Formats: sequence, C-alpha cells, structure tokens
Amino acid sequence: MAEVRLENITKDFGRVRALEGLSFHIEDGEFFVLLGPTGAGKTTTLRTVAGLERPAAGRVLLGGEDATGWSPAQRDVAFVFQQYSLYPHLTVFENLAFPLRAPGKKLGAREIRRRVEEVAAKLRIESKLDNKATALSGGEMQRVSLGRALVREPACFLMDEPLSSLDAKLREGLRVELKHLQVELGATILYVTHDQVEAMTLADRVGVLVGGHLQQVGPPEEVYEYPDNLEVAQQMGHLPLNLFPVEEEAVRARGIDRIGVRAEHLRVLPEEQAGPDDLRAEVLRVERLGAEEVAFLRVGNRRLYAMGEEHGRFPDAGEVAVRVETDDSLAFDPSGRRLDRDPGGRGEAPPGGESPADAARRMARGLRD
Amino acid sequence: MSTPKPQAPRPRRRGFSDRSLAWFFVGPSVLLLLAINIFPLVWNIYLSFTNYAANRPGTPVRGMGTRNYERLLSQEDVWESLQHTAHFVTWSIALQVLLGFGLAWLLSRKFRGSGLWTTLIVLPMMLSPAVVGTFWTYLFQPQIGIFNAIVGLFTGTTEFSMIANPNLAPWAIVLVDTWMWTPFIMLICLAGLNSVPRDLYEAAEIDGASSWRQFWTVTLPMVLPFLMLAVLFRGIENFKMFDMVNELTSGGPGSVTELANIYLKREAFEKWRTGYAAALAVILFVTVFGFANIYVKVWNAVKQR
Repeated sequence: MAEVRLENITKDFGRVRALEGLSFHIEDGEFFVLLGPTGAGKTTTLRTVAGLERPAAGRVLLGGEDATGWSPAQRDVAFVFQQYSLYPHLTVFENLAFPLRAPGKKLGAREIRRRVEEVAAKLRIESKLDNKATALSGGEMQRVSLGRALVREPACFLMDEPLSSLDAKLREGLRVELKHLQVELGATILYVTHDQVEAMTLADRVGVLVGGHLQQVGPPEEVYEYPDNLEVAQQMGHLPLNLFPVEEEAVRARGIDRIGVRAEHLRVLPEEQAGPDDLRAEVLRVERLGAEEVAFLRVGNRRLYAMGEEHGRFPDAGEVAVRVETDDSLAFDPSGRRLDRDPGGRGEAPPGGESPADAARRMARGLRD
Repeated sequence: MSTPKPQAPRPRRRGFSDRSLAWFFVGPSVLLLLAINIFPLVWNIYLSFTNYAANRPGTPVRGMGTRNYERLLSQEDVWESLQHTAHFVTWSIALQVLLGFGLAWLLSRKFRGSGLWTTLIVLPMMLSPAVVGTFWTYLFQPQIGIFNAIVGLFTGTTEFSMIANPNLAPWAIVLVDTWMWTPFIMLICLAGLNSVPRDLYEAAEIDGASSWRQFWTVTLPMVLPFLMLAVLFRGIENFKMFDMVNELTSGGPGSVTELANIYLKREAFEKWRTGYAAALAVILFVTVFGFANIYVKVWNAVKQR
C-alpha cells in the first residue's frame, strides 16, 4: 500500500474544464471517498490517478514518486469499475488470475492458484471459480471484480461507484463487507460515489467535489456537521437542505444571507403546541419508511423537509407547527460560504452576536408574517 | 324474474378465425416458395436419376438409377473442378479474413475521416459481380491494363498475363474476389470491434496486459462470433461462385479456373447433359449444406463461450 497525492491537477475535455487545480492526498491505509453530483469530475479524478487520463497540468504522486507520466500498468493500482468489466469469456478463476499473469509478475501456477483461492474465500465466491463470468448474478460479478483488484495486492485501490448497479439489500451487504476488508487489509482506497450514505459509512475522510473543484475534505461527520459552503451542505444529507432566506436587516448586516436547517433538525409539533416563534406549515405528504418518517411540508410557497424517528410523529395532513430549535442550523453568506466555521464552536454563539439558531428562529418568524 | 333460457350454442363469429387468417397471410408465400424453391429442387433430384436432356424435349426419358452419380464421382474433371473450387474458397477467404480484419482494426480507431474511408472501401461490394469480372479483364490486359503497369513499376516486367497464364489465373480470380469482398468481412468485423466495451480494454490495461494479450483475451474472443458469421456467408457464396469468374476467365485457360459451378454450367447448357448436371448439382448442394450445418454448430458453440 502507498499514499496517493494529487497536486494541482487540471484536466480539460475539449473546451470543458473537468478539473481545476485539484489537490488532495490519501494517506497509506486510508479510505478516502470522493463525493459529488454527476458531472462533478469524480470519475475523471479516479481515471487520472489510474493513468487512464493524462492531466493537462499538475502531478500525481504514488508512494512519494512522481507517477504523472507512468502507464496504468506501471502505477500498480487496481480499478473496480461500476459495470464490473469482467472478461466475459473467461471463468471466474481466470478473471481473478488475469492480473497475476501480467508479464512483470512472474508468478508460478501454484502461487497464482493459492492467491486466487485465498481471495475467493475472502469474498465467498470459492464455489463459483469454474463458472463463466457472465453466468453470475450482479452481486457475484461485483465480488469477482473486487477480487480481481484484491488479488494483485496493489499500491492502492480505485473504485468507481462499485455498488451503484446493485440492488439496495446487496449494496448494503457489500458495503459492510468492503469496509471490513479495508480495515483488515489496511488498504488505501480512493472511492468515488454520489451516494452520501456510502460516503458517511465508508470514509475515513471524504472529499466533496462539485464542478471540478474540491470543496472540502475531512472526516464525514465533520463535513456533515460543519460544511464549508452551501454546495457541500447540499451534497451531504440525503434530503434537501431546508433553506431560509434572511430578510431581517440586523441579521443581514452580519453577512448572513441564508439559513440552512437539516431535515432531522426541523422539529414538527402538533399545532396546539405551537409557540410564538414557530412556523405554521401544511403537511403535503408523509413517507413512512419503517424506522423513520419523512414529511413534506409547505410554508407559503416554500417546501420544507422534516425527518423523524418515531412512528406517527407526523400527521398525514393538516397544519403543524415547525420549530427550528437546535443549534445545528447553518448560516451562509451571499456567496454560499458558511459562517462560523470553527468545528469546536458547536452550539456556541459567535463572539459579539446571536447564534445561527437564534437567527433562524427569528427568521422563521419573519417567514410566517 | 324470468327463468334463464337454455344456453343456445354460441353463434360462430363472422369472418376468419385467427388460424385461418394466419394461413391467409402466409399462404401466398408458401405457395410461391413451393413453386420456385421446393418444386425445382425435387424436380432436379428426379432428373438426376434420368438421362434427360433439355435440348431434346421430344425424346423419351429413361431412368438411369444411380449411374449419373457413379460416373460423376469417377470422373477426373469433376474432381479437378472441385479442387479448383477448394483452392479458390480457401485462399480467397483466408485473404479476406486477414485483410478485412486488419482494415476493420484500423478503422475502429476512430480517426478523422474514418467514416469516409469506410464508405470508400465498401464501394467494390456494391458492384455487380458480372461487372466486376468484366472490367477486371481490362485491368488485367497485358498491354494497356493498369494491373500489369503497376506490377511493372515494382518488378520491371509486364511480360505476363494474369488470366491467360495457367499458373497465375487461379490467383487472378482469388485476387478479384478478395478485392470485391474484403469490405464485407471488414464491415462485419467493424461491428464486432465496436461492440467490445471500452472499459474492458481499460481493465486489461490496468491489469498490466500487453496490447498483444489484450488482443487475444479481449478483442479476438469478442469479435470471433462476428468473424465466423462473415466467413460462413463468404464460404457459401464462394463455393457457389459463378458469375464473376465466368466473366473473367470462363474457366480458362484450359480448365484451371473451372470451378464446380462453371463445370456444371458447361455440362448442363453447353453439352446439354441435363440429368448428369442435375446429379452434380445435388452433390454440390449436399456438400455445401453439410459443411454449413457443421459450421453453424461450431459457431453456436463459440457464441456460447
């Protein structure tokens, strides 16, 4: 395993700039997840690390060495593709053995067999070794694809949304297995996804990529709770962020343009418990997902999303009171940058002013009027 | 409340039932098929056991038993014509596969103008074989033909004739057929090459496979079913080859380019030994049918891999 470092990577496709001055590093043995919407440049980044794309500018360092000009084979990285990309006419065994038969490897037939069987056992596909790769189910195919990467014991693993073409159950199962394997092997992994749940559950650190720019890098909880800007806040979290425009001059004067509140921080109360600061919202729809409930609300012409973990917390229709009462609400300046970005300052009011939560509460009052 | 009347038998619906409607649609084609395919085949098989001659309509037709076949199979000429056919089929297809695949390989690397090149290369295929045969006689013309002129550029000699020289004529027909039909193999291979997902090559590249190994483990297995289909088509076509060669050499000089079908045409329409020729037609039919069937079995096995 080796550390991976990207320095000022810029990449164009024709006139479109896919990546702009991208720099980050992945430590040895780290699970790094690159999260971003479609077209953000995630896959391009991955392919640049793999050597499948040449950057227009910048350097790729693998294990401290400048690998920018190296071929994919020289880089000794393993790539797991979204669509498996197994060799269709080969058996599972041959697929797994394929990278071991590369000219540089010089492994004996017995050693190849030993390593393939070891990996197959780890991924629980021993019984499938003699099957044709195309005769497998999706989950099995992706296991083989992972196996083909594992068997090489490469410098690092590059994974391009490897779980996204599996059904939900399988995806969760394989996700857990993958994290387990990574910890066990101490593998360095660069993992690309648009699924924030995968980012939250797998990553040691997550990097949020939007529009070819790396917006923020950090441990997933930190990025979730203290997003640097509006785009990051909207990427993390699977329900849209509730955004309130600030109109009150006193608040605006402090640079706050919008207030964001996550769905789980929006408290919904029966109408009769409404306090003077609370909003009145109309319930449009409630999705009961078993363990949690999601309510789609409307205040004026604005949509709000609320999430709760108890059954029957939201009425199916009618009016409710909405309270923004936690200190976790996020304040953004007009450019979308989050104010009060000190991660240690949880719940503390910024010096010389009210907390974003206070502002949100007052702002909510403004909305109601 | 009235008591329900005993159920009357359901009245037949007007018009056709589904089944008779189906026959109504299919019937004409079935009849046509019977008239122009099945009947001639059966009639031909019948004639092959007789001494029928098409230019003597009045004379009584006698049954010959299997004597036509016995004579055919012991006839030196027949075996020679089959050898010519084998030579022609083997070499023309070998060359077409090599060149066609090579061209497809080049064209599959989408470069500027690759579409135009494809169109240009495909042009010969669109000509009529008889036309091709005729104009290649001019190209092969020793004094003014461009072929000899080009060969002369490289070797300094134009003192030869492709189609009048018994050693060169069998290669002349291979050459012309290759010129005409290489694009066909190329087109089908191109479709095959384009069907290989890009990411398989990328996976192989990352796995450290050389271009050579990528070709053998990714490209070839995926293109093979396409290539085999093209070879089947070309094989059947060339086994039956008549028009182009008839125009180009008419089987000559001597009989060195006398393919089975040209020999058959001579027997049937120059010597008017219709029954005898019919027997040869049956033998050729059975041969090509048998080969094609075995080939399709192999092809299916390859596809299933």
